[in-house]
Amino acid sequence: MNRWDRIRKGVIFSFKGGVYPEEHKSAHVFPSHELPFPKKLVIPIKQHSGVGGEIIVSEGQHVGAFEPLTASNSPMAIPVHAPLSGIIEKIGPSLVPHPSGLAEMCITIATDLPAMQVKYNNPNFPLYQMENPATLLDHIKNMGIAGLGGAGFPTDIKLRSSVNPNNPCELLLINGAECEPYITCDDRLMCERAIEIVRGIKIIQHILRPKFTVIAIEENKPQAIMAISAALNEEHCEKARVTSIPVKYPSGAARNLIKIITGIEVPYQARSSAYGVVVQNVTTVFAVGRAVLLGEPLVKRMVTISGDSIRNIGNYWAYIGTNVRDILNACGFTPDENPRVIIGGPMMGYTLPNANVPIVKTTNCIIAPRGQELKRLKPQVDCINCGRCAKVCPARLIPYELHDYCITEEHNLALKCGLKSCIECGCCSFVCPSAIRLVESFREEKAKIKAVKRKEEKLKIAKERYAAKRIRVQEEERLRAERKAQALAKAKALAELKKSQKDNTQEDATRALKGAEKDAAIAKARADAQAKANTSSKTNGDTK
Amino acid sequence: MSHTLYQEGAPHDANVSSTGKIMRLVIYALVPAIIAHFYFFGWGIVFNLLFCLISSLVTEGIILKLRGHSLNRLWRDSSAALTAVILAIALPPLTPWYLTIIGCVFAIAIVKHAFGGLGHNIFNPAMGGFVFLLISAPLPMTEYIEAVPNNYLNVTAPRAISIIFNINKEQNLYNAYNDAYKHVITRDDADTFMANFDAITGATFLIDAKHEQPKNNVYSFIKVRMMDLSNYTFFAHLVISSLFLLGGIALIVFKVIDFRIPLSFLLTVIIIASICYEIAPNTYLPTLYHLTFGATFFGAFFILTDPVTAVPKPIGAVIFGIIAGIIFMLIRNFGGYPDAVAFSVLLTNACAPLISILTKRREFGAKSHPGDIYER
Repeated sequence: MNRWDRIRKGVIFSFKGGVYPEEHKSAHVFPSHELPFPKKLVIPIKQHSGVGGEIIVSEGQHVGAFEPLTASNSPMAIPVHAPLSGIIEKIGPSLVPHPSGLAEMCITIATDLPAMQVKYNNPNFPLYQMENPATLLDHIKNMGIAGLGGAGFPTDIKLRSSVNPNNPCELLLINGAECEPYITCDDRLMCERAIEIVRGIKIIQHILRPKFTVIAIEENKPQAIMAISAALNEEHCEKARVTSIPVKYPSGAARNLIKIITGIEVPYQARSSAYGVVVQNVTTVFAVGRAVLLGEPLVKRMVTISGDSIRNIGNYWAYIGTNVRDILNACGFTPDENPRVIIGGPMMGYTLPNANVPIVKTTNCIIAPRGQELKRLKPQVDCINCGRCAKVCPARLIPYELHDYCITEEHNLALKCGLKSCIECGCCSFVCPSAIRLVESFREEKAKIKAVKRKEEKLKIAKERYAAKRIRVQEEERLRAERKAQALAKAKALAELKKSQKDNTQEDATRALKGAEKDAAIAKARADAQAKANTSSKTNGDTK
Repeated sequence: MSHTLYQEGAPHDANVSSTGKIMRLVIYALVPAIIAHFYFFGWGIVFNLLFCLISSLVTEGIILKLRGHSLNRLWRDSSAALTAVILAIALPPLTPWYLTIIGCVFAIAIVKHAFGGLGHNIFNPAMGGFVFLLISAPLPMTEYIEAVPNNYLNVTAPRAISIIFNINKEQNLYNAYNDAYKHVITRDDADTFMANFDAITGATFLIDAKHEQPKNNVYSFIKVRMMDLSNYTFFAHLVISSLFLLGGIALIVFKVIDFRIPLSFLLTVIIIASICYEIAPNTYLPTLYHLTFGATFFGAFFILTDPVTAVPKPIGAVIFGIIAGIIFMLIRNFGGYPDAVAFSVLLTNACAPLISILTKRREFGAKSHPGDIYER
């Protein structure tokens, strides 16, 4: 059976490593709900991986729902939009969801009452089959769509790299694995909005023209599998199938998913598009569908609110910019001592230092665990080289060795050991019997290497500047010496002229003038030679 | 919501394994073999365990305090207890008390903590302590008690204590021998007993075989000693080795240890032993005896697999096991010592860091090419 037959028949492969954490996915039974209407929305201008755009609105201005707030020509900048109509109250730094509680540039909107909402009309393309892929890609960018699986990479860039005829997309892989514990929003979305997801898939198929499309869903979501299969039939989506994959963390990581479905290991240094595969998350596909068909930018997403400290766990539709604290209170948050609020899943998410932050595009889950529901870390003891971390690493790294290099700051060895391939999935820390914070040390080391690189670049620039300055100074010196020699020669000539005038002999005067010119030429040549010698010796010194 | 939120790095969950749990599981896997020891060799093993545990835990406790750690590490990593249990099984059953204690203190203080404590020691602590004793006091370390069924009735607790503390040692040994004789008489196989040994302690079968080796007389020696299932010594060692094997397999099944090191070690031993026996059956022991006598299975599953001093990488582990097997067979068949587990473990431990550095793991995607999707 060749590779394509396997893919078409849904025969799966497996990847080495991975763990089986407790699933805690009880929220998947709850249909999605709307949250209370927010009075205030705080929109960070950069919510994806890339750069933020320029703000095109001003304080006090009234904006309509779906109106763009930023714009930029940079391909890595995607705009943000007003989720609801209202008045811009403030433009300035404000807390954003970040493990260290950073403040970044945000736009605060005081929303209009629900009955007084005004809608801004974006273009839409219900007949997308007639459109040029480039137009659709521009539209996807303008609607502010970034990868919603967690990384937030601009979707249009990912798609664009596979529109290229030299590097076509062969397989479109829709990621519905949702392998992290607790998170159920993708599951719910697939159950409730299967048709819209399939419409999104058809749009992406129109753009990429893949040979085949696979929607990969973990087998613990039977309802979602059924819903999507039914929707594929209903929408006559051809050359596509749903493949159910075994439950294992992290099978939802792009490279591991590609390995499961196709058996191909895409190296971490390469883009998966170079291997003919494009992976998109189901939520992203859903957002693409709404953006193209309805002209609705990415302003609302489903968020799973779960954990034993929450009374009404479930899946909620939240506007981007809604305050996390308000959401928690609305869902009945009863904190215990040392409460934790985790954004994202328990394996890759981070604890919030302050819950007064907005929901952003990539926020898929908020967990407020109680007590030992999620085990608190034990004190760390020394590594006993048991090798369990290497056994579970989905990137085939050797974490205990890498950890040694990280804590001793052996940057080159750490890089050689594959630090860059680490996806920070947390499997190694999860199984470590000595409770060593492996992932934390890798993140730290990555940051340190980045800092070292930045420092080196700065140093290089400074060195270049210094060398340029020295050459300039030498040139100036040489010119000055030359001018001095000329002036001296002139003065000498004048003096001799005067002398000869005293003697009143015409011949002497002319001879003296000639002599002076010669002197000046000699002096100039000498100065040149010296300056050259200086510079050459100094540059030699530099190169040494 | 005025609470300050608690912060920690990802991941926020962990599975329940801990270093202490791993070590304790290894100890539990040794329990059947310890019971068999008790059955065949009497109360000696109990006092070995007692002295080893007390001296190891006290030494570990003192050093932990001196190094500024909290004492609950004694339970939390349980490594000192495991070292004590392994050493207690490795030592002859009636080892003098001072040797037991010196061995344990050396193992914990010098072999483990002088190199940085758990996770930093180069050599297996128990084997370090054992070799220290073997070199310092060769005679008591090679004097084993003969195996008799129900030997705990002959080598009773008071007798074992008096022998260990060297009070009236000869008389007590004689009493034990007499009891064993009587016990066996009632069981109607006195001839076997008489044929087997003339005292209750003596050199092990492996040592005797070693003495026969220069004379190229091993094959007939085995015939004379009647090493088959009717022989107590052979039967006892077979049972104990099987229990070590079972314990080891249980550890592999419960994913406490990896199968690679024991498997590659045992395969190497079997291959080399078989080749030697095929070439010169009068000089070298048959493979089955290599596996049954001595600490072959004990070493393969419980000592070589000590994660700190072994190589956890898959290929490295195989190389580690093969090197250990080669050294083991070299010492047993061509060296001066009858058993070779301790020396082969220590010598292989010394190679472990180098093996670890030299072996690489295939990177994710190292073999794939961009055109793989078109592959037929």
